[in-house]
Amino acid sequence: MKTTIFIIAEQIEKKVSSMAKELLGCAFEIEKIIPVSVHTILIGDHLDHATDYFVDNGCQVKSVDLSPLKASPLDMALKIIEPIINTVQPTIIITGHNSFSIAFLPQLAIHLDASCITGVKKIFQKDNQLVFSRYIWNTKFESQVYSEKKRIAISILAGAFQAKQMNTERPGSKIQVEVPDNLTTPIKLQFISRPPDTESNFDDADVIVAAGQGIGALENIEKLRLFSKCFKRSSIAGSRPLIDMGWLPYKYQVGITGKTVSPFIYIACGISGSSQHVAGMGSSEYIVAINSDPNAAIFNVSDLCIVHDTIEFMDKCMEIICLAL
Amino acid sequence: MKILVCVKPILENSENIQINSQGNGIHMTQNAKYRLNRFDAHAVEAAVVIKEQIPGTSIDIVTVGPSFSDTIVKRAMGMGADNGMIIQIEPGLYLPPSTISALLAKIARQRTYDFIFCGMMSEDEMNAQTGQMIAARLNIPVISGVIDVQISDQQIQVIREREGGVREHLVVNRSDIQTMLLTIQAGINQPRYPGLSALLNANSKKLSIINDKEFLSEISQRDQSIRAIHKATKTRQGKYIDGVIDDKVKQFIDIMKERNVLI
Repeated sequence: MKTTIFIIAEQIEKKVSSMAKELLGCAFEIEKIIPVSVHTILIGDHLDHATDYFVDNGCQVKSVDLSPLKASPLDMALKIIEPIINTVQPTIIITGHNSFSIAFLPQLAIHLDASCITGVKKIFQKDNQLVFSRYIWNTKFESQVYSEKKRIAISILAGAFQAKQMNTERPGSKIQVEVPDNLTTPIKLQFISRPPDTESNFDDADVIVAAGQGIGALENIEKLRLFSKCFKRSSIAGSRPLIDMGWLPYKYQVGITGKTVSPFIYIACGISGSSQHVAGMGSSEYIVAINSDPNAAIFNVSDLCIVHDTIEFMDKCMEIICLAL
Repeated sequence: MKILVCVKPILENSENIQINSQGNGIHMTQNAKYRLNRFDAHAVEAAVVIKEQIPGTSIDIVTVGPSFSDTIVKRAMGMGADNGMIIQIEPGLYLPPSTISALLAKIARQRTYDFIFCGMMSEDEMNAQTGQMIAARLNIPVISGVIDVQISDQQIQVIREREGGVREHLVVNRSDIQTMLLTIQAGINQPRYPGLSALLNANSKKLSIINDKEFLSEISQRDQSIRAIHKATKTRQGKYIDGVIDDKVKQFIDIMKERNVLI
């Protein structure tokens, strides 16, 4: 008897989102424990690529194009998903832990009498039971929980599950689902605003591009400055050793004796990752490390690890980003 | 206008917290101190700002917690709320959001509110579920992650935060709804410090303690249980990008695009 998994993914851009791939990776992790069949609902815009991706991975895909709606997908998701779920009757519902799922998953769980486990980082089996591991107390502890219900609705942390391909022997399928005309919400979307693209100061930068001694030479600071301009609301920063060498003023220092920052994205370029530095940026939401040394400690605290010469990597990135402008 | 704000007590001094001897919860000490969950403080402030703008508004505060939760309820009253309620449970009893939301929905059903505010999540468990679940149980509209709210006679204007600083500007006609629930994101406001006289006044007010067995019957219902709690491994789940330089750069740019941070 196969367990039915139901993946819910929001699709915004043409590319398949990495969260969508990680949701499939999560289903794959569960398949290592129990036999599964996987259904997927894709909601949003530009659904073709993502639909094919899931079909190729043996999923039964239902895609719902929301572009004609004058409402946010966050306010329509529950109304669209619930009837579809009721036709599939899945045991496990998986979605990403983000503003999309926060807006409907707990409600869906109540409606379906399912348990709701959010921010899952790991799934394993113990005593014949699926156990879901999640951080509590600001990543100080991990709580291992199990469901008391037959149905389980979970959301997974970005980056917690690897984007892996499923066993493709299963045939996939796809169906487009039309949004019924009578589907309404009292919550009307007026418009969407995005943060200004101008360079902002260090303290409220969304993206911090920081350099360590690994960038090699003082001249490369200018390159770092240019690279940082590829990002909205960005700032540059530096590690203590780099600043001690006089390559950047002290106000740019991140670490125990400098600033403690927690931007949306922290990009560590040629930084070894000493505990002093990590203490100043370890709570950043998403950490990218670029370093030519595969054993650099910075990779231990990073979400995205790029083993490469930092300068060559920055050059190539700027080239591609500039071409797209 | 009546507003209900749901608040949660959070252990102070989180750096010193320990796992209990059964390994399935946080160790409770006799003299532990509790404070108002940070997100809930923003929710209380948002309600108090509305009270200042709209004459005749009254604010009720409710929490599910042990008797010592009175300190956080009184703090919220010191900030400007009018009445306080404690749905009283045993110290150390873990209740998941589904159970908490069932208890809070009962309160909301007994009294009629125009608005229910909750913090977007609690700092300790970070489930981000309770507000949404209350709304589902009451079958009322809900907006999560609110960073601005303006209420007029006809309309409710709300800004909701999405990833990467993207903001959705939403509007609800008040004639379309009876009660609306908002979960409040940090950054909406700066919660005020209660003045001494306000705190003393709040302290002299009697809180409603709800502890009758019938009301608390949901406590035995839970959607999930904790098997174990242990110290988290500090490292992140680093994902390595493989391939030649072009592949690496492409994947990196894709991930940055998805997070909406590229120019």
